[in-house]
Amino acid sequence: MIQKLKFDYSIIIPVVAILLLGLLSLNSALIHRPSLFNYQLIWASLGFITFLSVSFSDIRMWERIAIPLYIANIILLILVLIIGKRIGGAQRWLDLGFMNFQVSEMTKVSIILFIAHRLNMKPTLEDGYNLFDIFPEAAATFLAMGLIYKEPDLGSSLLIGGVALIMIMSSKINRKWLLGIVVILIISGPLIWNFVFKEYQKKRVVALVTMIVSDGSDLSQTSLYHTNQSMIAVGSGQRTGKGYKKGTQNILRFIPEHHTDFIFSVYAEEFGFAGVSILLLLYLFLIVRILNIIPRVKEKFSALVLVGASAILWIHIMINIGMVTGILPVVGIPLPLFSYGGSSMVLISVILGLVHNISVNNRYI
Amino acid sequence: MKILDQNQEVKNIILKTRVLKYVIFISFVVLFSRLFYLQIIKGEHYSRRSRVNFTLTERIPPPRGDIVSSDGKLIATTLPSYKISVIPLFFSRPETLSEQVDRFASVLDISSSEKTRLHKSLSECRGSCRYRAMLAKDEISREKIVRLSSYLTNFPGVIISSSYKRYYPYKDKAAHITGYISKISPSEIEDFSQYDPENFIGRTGIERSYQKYLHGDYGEMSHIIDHIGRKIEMPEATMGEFPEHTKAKKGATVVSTIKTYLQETAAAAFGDYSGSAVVIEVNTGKVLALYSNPSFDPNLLSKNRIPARIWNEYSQSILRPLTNKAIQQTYFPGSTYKAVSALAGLHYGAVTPERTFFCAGCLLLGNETKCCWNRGGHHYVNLKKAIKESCDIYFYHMVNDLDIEKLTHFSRLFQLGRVTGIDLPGEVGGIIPDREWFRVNHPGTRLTKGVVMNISIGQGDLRTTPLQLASLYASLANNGVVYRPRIVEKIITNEGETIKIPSEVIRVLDIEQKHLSAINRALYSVANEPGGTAFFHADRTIPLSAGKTGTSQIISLASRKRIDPADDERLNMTRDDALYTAFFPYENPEIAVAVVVENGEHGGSVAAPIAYKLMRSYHLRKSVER
Repeated sequence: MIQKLKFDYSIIIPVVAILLLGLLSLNSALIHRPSLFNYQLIWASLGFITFLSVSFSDIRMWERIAIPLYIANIILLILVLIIGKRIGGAQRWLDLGFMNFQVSEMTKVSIILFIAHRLNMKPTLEDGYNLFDIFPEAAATFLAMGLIYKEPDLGSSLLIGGVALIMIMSSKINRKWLLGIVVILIISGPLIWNFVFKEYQKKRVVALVTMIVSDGSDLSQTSLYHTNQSMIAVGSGQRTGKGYKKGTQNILRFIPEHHTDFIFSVYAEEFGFAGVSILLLLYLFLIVRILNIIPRVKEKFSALVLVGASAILWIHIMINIGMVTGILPVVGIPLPLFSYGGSSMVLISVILGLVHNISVNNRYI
Repeated sequence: MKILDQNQEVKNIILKTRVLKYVIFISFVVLFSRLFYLQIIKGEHYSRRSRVNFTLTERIPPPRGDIVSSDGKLIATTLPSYKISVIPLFFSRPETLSEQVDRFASVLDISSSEKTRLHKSLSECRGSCRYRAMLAKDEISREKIVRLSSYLTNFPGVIISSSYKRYYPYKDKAAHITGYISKISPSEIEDFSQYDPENFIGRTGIERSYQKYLHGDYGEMSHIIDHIGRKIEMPEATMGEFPEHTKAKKGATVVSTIKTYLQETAAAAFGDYSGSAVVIEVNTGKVLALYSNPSFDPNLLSKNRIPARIWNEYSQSILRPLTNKAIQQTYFPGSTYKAVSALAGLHYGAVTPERTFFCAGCLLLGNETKCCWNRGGHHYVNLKKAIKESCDIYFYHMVNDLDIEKLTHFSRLFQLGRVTGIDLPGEVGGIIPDREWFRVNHPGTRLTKGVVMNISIGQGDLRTTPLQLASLYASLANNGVVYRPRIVEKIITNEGETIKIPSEVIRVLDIEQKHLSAINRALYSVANEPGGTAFFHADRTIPLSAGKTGTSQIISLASRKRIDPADDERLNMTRDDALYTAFFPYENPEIAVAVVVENGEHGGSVAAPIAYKLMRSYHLRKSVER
């Protein structure tokens, strides 16, 4: 059947707006390396094609490949640990020749599809699942988290855990077991602190808390150099920013990683509170918009994919902006549609493509 | 148990996402609040911090102020010069560094030790040091820079910048007055924290004592730098609030009291003799000449690095060219001190101008024989003859009735053996040996009559500087006013304001006029009456002056006899010092002169002619000016 091409502009417009603001900021951040900006244009085009392909594919196909995709993903994650490319002390990439592919980005998609599919297959009881019912999903999530944590990439690992948790919680969980999960989360907090966090990560957290408590007056913390420079960039943007390509923290390269994880501080410095307000409202609109599609869908898989999609966008934004503004420790989490990087762009395109697909196909049912 | 259908399942999810939406909404409120806090509430604070990040304020060193003589000649000035620096980044590849430095050194024509030093600094330079200019050669003349600049274009990262060079036109003739300057040493950086570590500061002379006036005010220039400290052109970063670049202000002009022609006369008059001469204005304390021979060339020392050969030559010479002998060396005043002894004798009634003693050449004192320099004896000697012919025995008799405390008290009133407080660094006091001094320095020895007799003729343990002697004769000439000698008369700041340095009276002595007149008449006869010790050496073609010769033993005759006759150096070094002190003219005195010639042997024949040349030079210039 040839589908008539339909578009949901309430998704496309905020996405394109965010993407354009992102390219604008990258053009300023990459003033010393214009070739990278051209790459990002290629990634954006690739993302656009991906978005369209996914938009107009059969959503059932995605459900069918959910489990094979997950298994392939696990194999790739193991491969990364064996033959992956090391960049800056972490082994997170597979060298595909034309690009370095970050497998954990793919995991963000596959875990959403996997959990949505598995829970869809499981009939929901009136008083919800108990812990044994959701054990396979939890185990699959922990396996992926563990492999990503080994790279090491604590940020992505926790992010994937967070998305899986939100998706599982969105389906019906037995009240007693819900309490159990909460208790387990509380108990696992100190355990994760002691056994999962590395010494430097603990130091970062401690330094961050110290800085927030002392109101940023303690500049001697070298482990907070990134956070400090980023906060100076954001804060010095004031109401309306320093002007496009006039951000001193950016142009004079005081902001570290200013085209990837810290791109938000470049934007905030040059466009000020006015600019970040527009961007945050666009993000908020997009996330809420995705959740608002759910009442229109009639089946569990699509509904859970939508929950997963908004959760993954939300967590990315929270962690990234939280880290750039100095309320969360520095972990390598990109800002969706903003940060430089092909893997992230393709991942977000797949997720938004799925969202758009579901939205368009459930419009008139 | 009931199983939910699809519709109910989705309804359940909708219910859950309502909670999720609240959580998401709250989290965005947190982000908004944080951004509001950073950008609106703390915006100014972070703006300042971003400004601190990218602003580098450099100080521009000012040219050092001039030092001018009172006859209007420049004796120290600052000349423009050029320096060549390199940015180490362009010399950072280790495999080509040696070759690069070799080529660079041959173009610049720098010595091999300088080349080694440059090579070492370049290879040790890491991090942000690689972006900061490193000095390769300084004090390059304009002509040479023009010639070099075409070659230097082949070298990337070479910076030619203007700098300054201190220049002393009178070279060694005013060296002990101006002093010299040199770079702040690493150990002094804290003491001179107001200056840049690269700064030069005055080491000796006026350069040191008037450092704060001569230095001038730094200018300031702000640059924009990136995260590793490189200078970047980004004018829009300043948002129109950049601090203005302020120009450096040249240091104040310090006007000295000295007359260059007297300095030149002194330098010529000393020839190969070691010693010093001081000329003081009797009614103001202004030092008109202060010369120490041999001298040094401050141009050779006021450099970034003093060549070791020159430093060793100056610092190891037995004639001590770096020592300002007029204020940093003490001597036995010898017979020039007899004016003080005689005045004390008159003042305390030990003698009258008419009282005579008999000089038979020698005097038996217990088992000790004290002799006059004239073994033939002076027969009957009164005060005038005692000074005119410099009879020692007269004073030996006099101290029978004059306690040592009275004598030393009188000496101290004239500021002898004490620091005068002249505005030059490193002045030493000397020794006026009283009972207390002997108790501290020679405990257990008896203060015998013989010791006091030695002091009365300017020997013993008495030690004074030539400046003190000049000041003493100035006080004799001006009725007993002791002025603080000074070398600077005014300072003209870069705003054009003149700071005058007034005359300062240390004390006015309560001496009877008739006593002073008696002494001065006697001093007149020394130079101008037959029999006077300076009679044959006096220049009486200029107005007549009063003076006193002195020939002081450095070691006792007995010790000198024990020196190996073949040891020429030792024999030379132990010859008597020759002194002549005077004031001029005798009627209405204007200047006092003190000349000390080390190992000159005869005050009359060696020291007096130098003093007369100074007086003559002063007089001739004065006549022309009138």
